[in-house]
Amino acid sequence: MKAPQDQTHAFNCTQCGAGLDILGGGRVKTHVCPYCRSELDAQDNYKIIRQFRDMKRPETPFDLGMTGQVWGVDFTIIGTMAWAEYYGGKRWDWVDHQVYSHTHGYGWLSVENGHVSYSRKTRDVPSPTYISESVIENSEARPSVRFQNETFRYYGSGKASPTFIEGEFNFRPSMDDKLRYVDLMGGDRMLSIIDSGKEREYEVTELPDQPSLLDSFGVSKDRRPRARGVHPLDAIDRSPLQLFIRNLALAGAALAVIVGIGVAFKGDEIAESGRTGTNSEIRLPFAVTNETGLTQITISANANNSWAWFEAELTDADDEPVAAFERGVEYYTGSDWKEGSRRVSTQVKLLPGSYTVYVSMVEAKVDWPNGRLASNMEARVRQGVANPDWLWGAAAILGLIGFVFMGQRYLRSARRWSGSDWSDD
Amino acid sequence: MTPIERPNCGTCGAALPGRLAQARMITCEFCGTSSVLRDKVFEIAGSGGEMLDAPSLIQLGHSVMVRSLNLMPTGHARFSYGRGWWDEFWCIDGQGEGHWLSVDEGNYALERDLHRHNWPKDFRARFGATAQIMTEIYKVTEAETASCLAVRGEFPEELELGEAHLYFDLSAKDSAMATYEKWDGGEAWSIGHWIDPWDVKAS
Repeated sequence: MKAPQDQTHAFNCTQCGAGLDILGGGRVKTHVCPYCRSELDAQDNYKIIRQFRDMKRPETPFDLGMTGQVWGVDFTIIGTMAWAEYYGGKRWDWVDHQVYSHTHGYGWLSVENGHVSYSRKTRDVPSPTYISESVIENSEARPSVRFQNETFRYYGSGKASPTFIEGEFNFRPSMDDKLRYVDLMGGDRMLSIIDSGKEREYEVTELPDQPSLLDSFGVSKDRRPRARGVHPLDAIDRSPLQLFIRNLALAGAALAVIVGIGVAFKGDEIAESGRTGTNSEIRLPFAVTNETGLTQITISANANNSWAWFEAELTDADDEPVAAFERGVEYYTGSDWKEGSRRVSTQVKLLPGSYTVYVSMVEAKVDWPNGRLASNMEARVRQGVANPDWLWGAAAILGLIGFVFMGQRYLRSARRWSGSDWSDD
Repeated sequence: MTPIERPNCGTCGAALPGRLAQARMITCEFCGTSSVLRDKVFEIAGSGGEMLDAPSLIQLGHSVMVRSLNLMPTGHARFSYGRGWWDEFWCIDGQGEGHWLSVDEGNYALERDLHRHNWPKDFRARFGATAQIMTEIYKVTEAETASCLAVRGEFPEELELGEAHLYFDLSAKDSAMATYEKWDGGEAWSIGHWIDPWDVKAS
């Protein structure tokens, strides 16, 4: 910082005489005059170092001298540096603005694809410290590094050169600079390894809330950048309530499945006919003693690549009909598949007492190659059975809610990574 | 912290702040005069200089969290390196240990004095030079001449206003850093870490 007692807020360009504001602190090394493009040595009486020519001003919502807040900290735009990268016949452009805070030092506000991110240098070093081009080319999986107890996975890399320089910088920029960068993405931060050929630096990038950032810097509506696509750091920021609902839905679905399985196996077997030829009728007497729950009658038959249709009649102790139903089994199989079931069940509510169920096969047909008609059948009766269907329904609904949340996150994540230049090939 | 006697300012007579056991220099909060402990007596050392206001996360008498360390700044010194300046705060932690917290345009460093037997041997003080401190290799990343502009509060050592001294900032891996200072008749080493400004939380 300039000493408050010696603070100078402005000077005249030593090349063209234009009045220039001093916005940065004492660590500013270079001041590039916005009028004549002269690069001046801020640490040596603004001596002229060189003059930049043929620079095209980039489109950006920020101007030198604009002030605003990043996460509640005051920053001033002190420099503008536009970059271009060429690869495979394509060109990528972005604009970095050097920003300065009395309390939080120097950083960058970068404008790319209409998104504005904040970056700052970090002195912490990842492990490994560098990812070379050959490592990227020869790796079978995305390279990654560990940094501040977090894993950062490879996102992209390239070489960029400046196309425009203006204002103050805490280093000495040059139009001849060629920076090789490797971007790695963590949860909601990007780690960049920047190699200038002379030194290697590490930067951490985060994505501030866009509307409040632009509001804070006083960017007018007509200058606001139009965001294209999803920024890699634009992760879904779930509210605690949303996360609670998602977790509650998934936990509820899991609980419904567990309880449903328990319910499905509930009950006691009270009668079994044993295997009987399908050409005769099963007569199976049984006694219901349980006042609660349902009585389940299960019919099974050895149909194979065929179907069989059964009629069942239920009578009470006075041989009066209580219920009648029809059910069919069908079972098909191939070398690596099978379909249908050789078993079918019906549940009825019966009061305690004696009953008899009569089961007979009324129709059967082979309708698949190598099929065989059902030749024997069996009936079983269980009491105290509960119907788990409502639990399966609840599990399906709750699971759907949870998976919609998760699916949203997955799709968002896929879009975040869509700009990566990594290919599994 | 062990408060001991409360001497008066030799200039205005006001009671000097309840000082710490380590304090060797105290600035009167009323008239700004600095007093230095010599032979168990506080003598006037001169003006504490003019400390003009500047935005800062650190304020004397207001605790600050630096990562997980709760520090109480008790002394504030401002140094000029010619084209700019930085602040050094003498801070006491919860265990009564002292730390130097330096603040230079958002660059924060927390250092403590390096015991003489750990000082690197054969260190050639110049930009780019390296020094081995214990097992770590440090490299000089900045070399400047600085002078003290102003002081406030209490310090464990005497700081002389206007006196120029050389300082060398050295950096090592994992944010480790060290400082070597040299002045007429003395030298000192300190060691610590760079701190991310976003890890400094003012109370």
